Amino acid sequence: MRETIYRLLRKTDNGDWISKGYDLFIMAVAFVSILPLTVKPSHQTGMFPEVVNTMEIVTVYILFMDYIFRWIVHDYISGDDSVWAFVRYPFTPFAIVDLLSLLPSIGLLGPGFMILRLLRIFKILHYSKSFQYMINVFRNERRTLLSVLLIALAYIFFSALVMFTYEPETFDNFFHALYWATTALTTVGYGDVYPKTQIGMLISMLSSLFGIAVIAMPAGIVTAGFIEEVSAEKERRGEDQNSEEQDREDQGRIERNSEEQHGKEQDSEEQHGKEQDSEERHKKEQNSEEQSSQEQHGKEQDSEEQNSEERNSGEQGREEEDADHEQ
Amino acid sequence: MNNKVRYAVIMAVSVLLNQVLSAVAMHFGWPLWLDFTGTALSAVVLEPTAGLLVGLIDNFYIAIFVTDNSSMLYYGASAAVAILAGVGMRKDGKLTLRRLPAVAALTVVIMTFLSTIMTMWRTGGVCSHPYEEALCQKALAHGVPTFFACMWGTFVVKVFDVITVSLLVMAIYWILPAKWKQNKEAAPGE
Repeated sequence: MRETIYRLLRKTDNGDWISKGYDLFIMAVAFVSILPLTVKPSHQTGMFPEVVNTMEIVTVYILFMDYIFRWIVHDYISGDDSVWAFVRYPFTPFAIVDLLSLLPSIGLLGPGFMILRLLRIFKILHYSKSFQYMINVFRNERRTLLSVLLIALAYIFFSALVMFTYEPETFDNFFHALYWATTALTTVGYGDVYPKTQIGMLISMLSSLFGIAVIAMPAGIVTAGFIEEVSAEKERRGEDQNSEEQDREDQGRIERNSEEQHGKEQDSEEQHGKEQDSEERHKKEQNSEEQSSQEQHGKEQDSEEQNSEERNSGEQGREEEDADHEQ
Repeated sequence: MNNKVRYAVIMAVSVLLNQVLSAVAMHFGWPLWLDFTGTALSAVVLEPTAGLLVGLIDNFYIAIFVTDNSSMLYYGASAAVAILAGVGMRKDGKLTLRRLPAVAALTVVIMTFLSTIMTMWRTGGVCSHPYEEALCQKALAHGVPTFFACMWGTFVVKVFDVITVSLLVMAIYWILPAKWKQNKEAAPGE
């Protein structure tokens, strides 16, 4: 039964439509479970709260079942045969995220933690190939991204500090200066905070010109990594297809060879059978010849015996006649 | 007998057993829950995973039709029963009656602990079973702290519960025809 559950849960891109169907079902349930968050509490009137409540119970329970299923077969998923695989499961990242997303709905956490329900979005992303690529990119490029991130943060801090020094009356406090630097350098620019003096405008222009390059670096690294992942996946799929075709050809060749071999064996068996038949016929003929010669010999013997008996009886008869004559 | 049919029938019967026996116990006012009889039966006759699934389905029904999502936490107790009965009663893959006393004792202890924690969290120490609550109140009257009073009430009822469920499961197992008990490998194509 655990194997059946594992086949259902594992991610697959083959023709396993049951597993694919289950993946889509869980994604749909996760999406439906966060839909009530899109409606304001003040707009939830009439039958709405009851419907939402029922929807919440059903979807949370289905997600809970998925959590338990994954726990039951974690030894298959992780490839670890030991009992410790089941002990480790609750501490794996996805299990923690899944549990945190369910706890507010079962009342273990207070109303302030309801926002954790948004973590169910990871359930949808978990089955998304693009999300997997992103995770791989962040994993592979984490050192570079961290360095670039630190440079970007340092630049924002520096820009905010310079601006705050030359225009202290524009900003209520340093946090506002940081807010301005972030929105300006990321090109968001809300326009709620802006430099008012000419020196401040000059600083803003210079920091924006150089800052664009710094802020854009992470995007470039992530994009390049993403394209690499997609290319690698395509190559892997191409190799898999080639190897599958090769396997099919080899299999066909093996089957043809074995059929020929089988045909040859059948021919040799028939030949052997024929030879055996002819041997048997030859033996039978020999036997019948011997038999007939034996019979002939027997007949000759019988006739000799008969002749000798006749001769003996004839002689005995003559002897008796001679004896009678003498008398 | 097709293995899939065997699993489906026994698990369905187990879910019904959980619901029916607990309703009967409540109706007649017995000092019992009996709401994990089917879970234990599935775990013993089939495998521990079957018991886990029976408990899950049972809890799902209770969450949808009886209480709310908070009853999900009581699944911990069901899961403990399924694992203890399914794994504890087997030695080298075969069921052995000699382990029953130890498994039953461990079940009582673990279920008492889990149920007490759930009760303390959900109701602040007010037990949901009349007998549990009566025993809890008596302990409180003697000055026992709420947690331990609740634990005492839960413990006494759980002892009777586990003994009764053990006897029921043994009786049902004995009645079952042999082909329903066999854990043979499924033939190819089944």
